[in-house]
Amino acid sequence: MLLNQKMALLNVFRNYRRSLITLSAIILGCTALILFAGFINSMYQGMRENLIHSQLGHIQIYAKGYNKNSASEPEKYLLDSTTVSKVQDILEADADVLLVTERLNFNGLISNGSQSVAVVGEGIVPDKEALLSSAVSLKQGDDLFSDDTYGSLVGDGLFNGLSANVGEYLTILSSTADGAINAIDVQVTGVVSTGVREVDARFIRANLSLIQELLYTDKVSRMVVLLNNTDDTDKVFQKLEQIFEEHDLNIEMRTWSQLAGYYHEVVGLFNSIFQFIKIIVLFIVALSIANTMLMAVMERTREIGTIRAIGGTPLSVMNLLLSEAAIIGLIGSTLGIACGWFGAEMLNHSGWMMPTPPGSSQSYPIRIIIEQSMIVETFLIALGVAVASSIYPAFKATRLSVADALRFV
Amino acid sequence: MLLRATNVSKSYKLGENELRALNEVSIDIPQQSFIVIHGKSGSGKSTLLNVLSGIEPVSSGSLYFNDESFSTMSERKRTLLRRDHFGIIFQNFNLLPVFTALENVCYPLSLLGVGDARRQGMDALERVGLANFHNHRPAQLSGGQMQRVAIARAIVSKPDVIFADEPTANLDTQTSDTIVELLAELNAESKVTFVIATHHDDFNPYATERYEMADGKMKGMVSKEVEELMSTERIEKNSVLETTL
Repeated sequence: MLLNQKMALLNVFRNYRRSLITLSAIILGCTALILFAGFINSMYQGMRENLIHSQLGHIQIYAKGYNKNSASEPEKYLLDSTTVSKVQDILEADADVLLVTERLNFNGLISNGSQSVAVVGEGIVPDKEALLSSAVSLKQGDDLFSDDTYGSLVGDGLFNGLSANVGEYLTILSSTADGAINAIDVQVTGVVSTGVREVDARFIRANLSLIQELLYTDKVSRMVVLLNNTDDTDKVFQKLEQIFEEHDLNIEMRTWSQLAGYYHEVVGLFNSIFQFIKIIVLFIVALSIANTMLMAVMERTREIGTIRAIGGTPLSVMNLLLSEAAIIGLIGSTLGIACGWFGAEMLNHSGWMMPTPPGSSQSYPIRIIIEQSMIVETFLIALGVAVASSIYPAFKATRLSVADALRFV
Repeated sequence: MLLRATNVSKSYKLGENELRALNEVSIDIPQQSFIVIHGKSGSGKSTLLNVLSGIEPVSSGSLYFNDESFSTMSERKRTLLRRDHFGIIFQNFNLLPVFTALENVCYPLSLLGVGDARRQGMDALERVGLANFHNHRPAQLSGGQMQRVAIARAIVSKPDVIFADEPTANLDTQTSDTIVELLAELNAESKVTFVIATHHDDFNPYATERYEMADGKMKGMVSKEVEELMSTERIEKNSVLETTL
């Protein structure tokens, strides 16, 4: 049936203007889908990496029961130094792990003498946190180092709320692990932004030793693990779970994905929007192809009659018309993907800044990240829609009476 | 008998009216014959050809090919019958415009799944004297050349019967004569049976049997033997008359 395929190919170029219009619809559809998918993919990636590199890390390790009970009794679910040391040894031996660091979280009040604001703070190991929290940007002052015993990094919202100055001393008031009240003075070393406005309004970081002194404990709330590759998270998580079980460590873990509820809500919302847009685009493409094929069937009624008269079965007529649609789909989706890729490159190099997203404190340059799976999916969907939308016209062609088709003028 | 139609009728619905295009037509078509169905426009000869070739189903009556009935066959089976045993030549040539002459000729073979279609296609084109035009598309050919390509397409799969509906109607007299001769030669050479519907007399000298149709009915049949006999009798009568005078 090779001649049938050749006829299909020649028929596509026979009425080139109409084919061009149909191809344009597919090309535009594919380009729009690729660009939009690439754009939301870059948003997902940006959000995900921002979360990982500002707050969550890839994996967090806690004392068993922490996630269930820490809201009411956080002091009872802290990791002791022996456990921390054991976990650290295990993680440092793992090639997938880039670094592991400890954090001690606290809630309290911060005051400049005249004004007090509630804060959610954490004690950190500055040298390690600098790599882990690469998405936390320094807005003013200097970064925090291990030898800055009383130094602190303050969220820009909090900094502005307190009308503070870099170098100024602030007092943090919190309850110790035993339930007593304690206070320390910290010096504002730098002003930072996590990119999330709500976090920046109550965010403070200081050296772990200083916060341990504040809470009167040598324990930590969590250990945060940064991996070399985000895609390895689940694999490493399972591996660590097994190792920790073998070492009989009384700990529990969470991946960044389990901790990022907001991220999943955004992804879900955008996926729904994308699906809706995809359906509309594909529907327009399908209508365009169906119209072209219906016109082709009408124009070539006598030819179809001839094919049927000289022994072509309804199946061979259907095969001919679906092959034509598949060729249009193949050319259209290939060109559409190429245009999408070219458009993405152009946009990525344009430096076009996107408006600051709701809840965020930073704008960012537009970025389109196209993945292989998107290309394959778009190609197959466009091809599938091209063929599927031609089934009705092709079926109609097979139902033509041969004698009537031969008489058709 | 290669092909037989017994009391075949074909009606079409035209709104609330019924048009009877064929009315109780019977015809026997022996192997290797050259049948000419003669009649004016609207006499029903094209409908008879369509029915005999399985293009249209009959309204009533029976059709047999090699003593096997095909009047009640499904559309698909009739298509396969045409593909395997019949060749068709149309008044308007009906070549596929995107194909070259050779591809047009090879197309029935591709429908049959023949592997070496090109060689057979070239042989068929050579037989109709168009081997040098194998790369020409229909638009680059004259009417006579297009009809030759159509004939090559009809003979390429070596069918048992070739149906030709007004094969010379759209051609000038000279071209028409060459097509008539070509079809007669093919009948003589390859022993393929021809059933030709025409309103011209060009095919009469070659017809083994001539049928006359009018108003959807078969009006009469003249076989070549009878015609020759009648022709001989006429000569003898004339001789006797001349002698008497």
